[in-house]
Amino acid sequence: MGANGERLLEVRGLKTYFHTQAGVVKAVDGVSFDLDRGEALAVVGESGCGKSVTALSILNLIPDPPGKVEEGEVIFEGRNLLELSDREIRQVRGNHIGMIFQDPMTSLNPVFTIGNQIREPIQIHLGLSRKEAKQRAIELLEMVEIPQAEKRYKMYPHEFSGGMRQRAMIAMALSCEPMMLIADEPSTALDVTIQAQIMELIGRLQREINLAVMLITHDLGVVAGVAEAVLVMYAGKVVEYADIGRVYYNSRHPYAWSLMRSVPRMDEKRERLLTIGGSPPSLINLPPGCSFSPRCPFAEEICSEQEPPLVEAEPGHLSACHFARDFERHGKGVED
Amino acid sequence: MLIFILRRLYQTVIVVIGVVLLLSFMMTIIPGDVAQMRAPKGATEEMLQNIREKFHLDKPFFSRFWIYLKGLPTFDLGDSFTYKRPVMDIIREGLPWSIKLAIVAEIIIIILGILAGVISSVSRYSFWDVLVTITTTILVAMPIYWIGRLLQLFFSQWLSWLPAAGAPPPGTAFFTGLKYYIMPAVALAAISTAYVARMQRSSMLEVMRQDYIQTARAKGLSNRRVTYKHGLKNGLIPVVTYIGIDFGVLIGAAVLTEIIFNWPGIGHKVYNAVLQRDHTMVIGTVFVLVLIFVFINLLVDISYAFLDPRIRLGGGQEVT
Repeated sequence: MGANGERLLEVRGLKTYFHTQAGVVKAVDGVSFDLDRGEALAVVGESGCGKSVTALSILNLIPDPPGKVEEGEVIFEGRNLLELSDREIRQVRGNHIGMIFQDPMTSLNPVFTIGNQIREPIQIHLGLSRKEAKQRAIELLEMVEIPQAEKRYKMYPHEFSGGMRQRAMIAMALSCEPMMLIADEPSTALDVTIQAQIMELIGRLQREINLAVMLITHDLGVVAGVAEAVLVMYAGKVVEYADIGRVYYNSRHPYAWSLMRSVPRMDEKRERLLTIGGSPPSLINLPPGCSFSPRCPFAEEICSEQEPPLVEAEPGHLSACHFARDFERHGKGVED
Repeated sequence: MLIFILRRLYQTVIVVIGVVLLLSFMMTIIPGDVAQMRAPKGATEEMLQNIREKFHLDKPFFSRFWIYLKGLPTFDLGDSFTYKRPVMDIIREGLPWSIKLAIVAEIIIIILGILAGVISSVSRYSFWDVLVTITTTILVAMPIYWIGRLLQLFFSQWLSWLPAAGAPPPGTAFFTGLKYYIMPAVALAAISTAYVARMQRSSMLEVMRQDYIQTARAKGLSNRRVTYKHGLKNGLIPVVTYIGIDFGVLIGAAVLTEIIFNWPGIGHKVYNAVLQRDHTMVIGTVFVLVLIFVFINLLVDISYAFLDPRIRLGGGQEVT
């Protein structure tokens, strides 16, 4: 969204399908967004809405078979990552784009030391010697605030706590000074206090080293402190895309609008939290029209007939709802 | 680590005593008068009585067992009446042959089994994978004596490439001597190789689905590095355990192979001893085999700790 910065990543019409025995799962179905240098974008949505698949598609990490990027472009620094050879994309992974995952308990290899695993991309991408790489790895551990880094360097993942492991993962992802970090639910598997620390760390690094961050989460609270723009996904599609303030306080899509009202907030008094009835649709058999219409509190006849296009509800605020432009008037009746 | 080893050694003593007790009991309830089998034909009752006294056959079961146990720490395993020599001497002759055969078989298992397993897991459902699956299924189903006979028929009778049976005679050059090992070692290794190949395949497939493999890919490592560094070291853990334990089995359970190929190992000797009701020989041999087996198990556990840091004892307290 940020129109002032220098464009780093452009995702255009990305479609990633999984060909399963039950049918074609349209996990990501026409997703587009931009990311500037140093910008933080949050990708929000329920489990199974295609957030993680979008992230993996960017680095061409979708297991094929069964998955396949069917269409779209991922332009990173002027190159379409989807058209790169194996060798070329490997030089992007870990080098220009770092990635961390949801569960730090299982994302580190149990049979190698933390040091060994952090050293690996440094030696491969930057061509440093073992000794230099070790020095750099220890500095990285210090950067992510791991105390006694030199001692921890020699330890194995099982000797680290969850929060420490996620810090080590961040150190590993940032080891080659990438321009962009993809964080796939980095705090979901952690304790609440540790969650805050990890998000703080990511926010600090983003500012300090001008890192572009794509933060995937289903936790809206986590988003608030870090991200500047929010991309809300539902059933493989983008339903709302705007600056964080607009999505939080002036949402133009009933799904995002309901999500915001389903979490407790300090600054508003509300008797009850809103719940969104039903469950996300099967990605094999999407309902006709708007995918959200069966669960939508404002749905009208047109919603189950025509699929709403992603339109500019106001300048810089995209929404895929038939009533995006006069959403406030439309929504008022239901809220009261 | 030292405490771990000591604890294992202490367990070993109990296991060994238990095995000897069980064996002595089993050999006692086998029908047939041992004194009569030892005595020359037409021996008088007085001669039989002498034999019974000499070998403590007139004493109750547990006193005999106690007498035997007292000899074990010094490896005094008594005399074999069929060979008319101390049991320990016979074992000393046969054991090296059994161990050498087991080592050659183990090398075949490690190289072929692991290689086949890794190849078929890396290129799943390919021609090689199908080939490995079919071959291992056939091998597992083939009894060792049949494989042995087939090998003899092909490579010795028809092609005359390899000697049909026997161990290399003394003074044979190393490479000529190796020829004698090929067929018995292949026969001995066949089934275990098939098992190892299958275990390696499934363990690799399991490992390659783990999150840390995705992390390794996201770091920009090559497929080869992801598979052979991050995958293989994890995928080897269960296979190494199996191979290690299997080594003990290869030494002790080579009875069939040693008979078919007339190999002078202890399997052959123990087979004859069972036929002759040679108590001391059977129990003595099994005692030594159990010792070897338990010792190898200990080595496996130690090597396991080297492969998998999570079971290295005394090293891990969590840091928060």
